[in-house]
Amino acid sequence: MAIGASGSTGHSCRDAADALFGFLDRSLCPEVRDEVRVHFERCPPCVHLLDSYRKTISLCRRALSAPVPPETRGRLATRLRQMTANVPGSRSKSG
Amino acid sequence: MAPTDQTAPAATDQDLLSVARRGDYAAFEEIVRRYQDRVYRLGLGMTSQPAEAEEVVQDTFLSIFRGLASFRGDASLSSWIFRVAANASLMVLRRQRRKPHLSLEDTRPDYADDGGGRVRMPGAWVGEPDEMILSGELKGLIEAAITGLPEKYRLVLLLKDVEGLSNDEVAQTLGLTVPTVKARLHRSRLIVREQLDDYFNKR
Ligand SMILES: [Zn+2]
Repeated sequence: MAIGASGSTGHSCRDAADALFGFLDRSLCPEVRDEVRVHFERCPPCVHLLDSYRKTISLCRRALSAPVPPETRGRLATRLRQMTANVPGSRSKSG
Repeated sequence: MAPTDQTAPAATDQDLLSVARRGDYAAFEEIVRRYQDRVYRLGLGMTSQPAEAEEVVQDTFLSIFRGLASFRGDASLSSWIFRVAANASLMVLRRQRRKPHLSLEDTRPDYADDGGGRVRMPGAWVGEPDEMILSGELKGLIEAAITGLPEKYRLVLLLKDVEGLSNDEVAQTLGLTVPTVKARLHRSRLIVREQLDDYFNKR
C-alpha cells in the first residue's frame, strides 16, 4: 500500500489533480471537497500544484490584458465608418 | 446625426442594442467603444499578432453591424459579440494558416513513477500572482504557452480566464456544454501551468 503525504485517506495526488478544478470552482460535493482539502493540506507537491494553478489563472489574465493601442483605435473607427456606409439599408439616413 | 441621450455611457447594452437596431450609428459606435478592447484581447490571444487582432476587431464589428437588423435578442449582446469575435478569430487564423500546436497527450502534471500518483516537487513561484513581476520574458512565455494551445482550448481559456466570463457564458458563447468548457479549461490551465513551472524551476 502506498503511504504518501496523503496519509490514511488513500486520496492520491492524481485524484487531487483531477479534483483541482472542482475544488477551486466549489462544485465538489462536501465530502469529496473535504477529502481533497485534507490532501492539499498534507501534500507539499499538491500544495504547489494548487498554488501554481491559481497563479497561472491570474498570470494569464495579466499577461493578456492589453487594450487596443490608441492609433489602432482611431484607424478602426474610421474604417468601420467607411465599411458600414456600404452596408445597404442598415444606416439611418435621417438627421 | 447627434448622439441621443440614450447612448450616454450609462445606457445598458440592451438600450444601446435597440437604439442601434433602429439605425443610430452613434449607438453602434458606443457598442464598439464598449467592447473593442475585449474583442482585441481575444483576437490578440488567438492570433498573437497585433495586425491580425485588429482584423478580428474590424471583422467582428462589421458582422455585428450587418447582423443588427436580424439579431433576435435571444442571447445577450456580450454573448453575441464574443461568439462573432471567436468565429472572426478562427477565420483570421484560417487565412494565415498557423504553425501546428502541441499535442494534448501530455497535459497532465508530471507524475513520478512511484505508484502513488505523486506530482514532482515544486519549483519556486514566489509571491502573490498580482504582485509577481511580469517581466517581458515571462509575459512572452505566457503568450507563447497560450498560443501553443489548440484553438478550441485557447478560446475557452481566453474567454474564461482573461475575459472573466462564467462557465455558463462561455458554454453559451461557444455552443458547448458546461462540462466540456470545464474540461477544456482545466486542461488548458494545466498545460500553461506546466510551461510556467519549467520556467520557474530553471531560474
Ligand atoms: Zn498530493
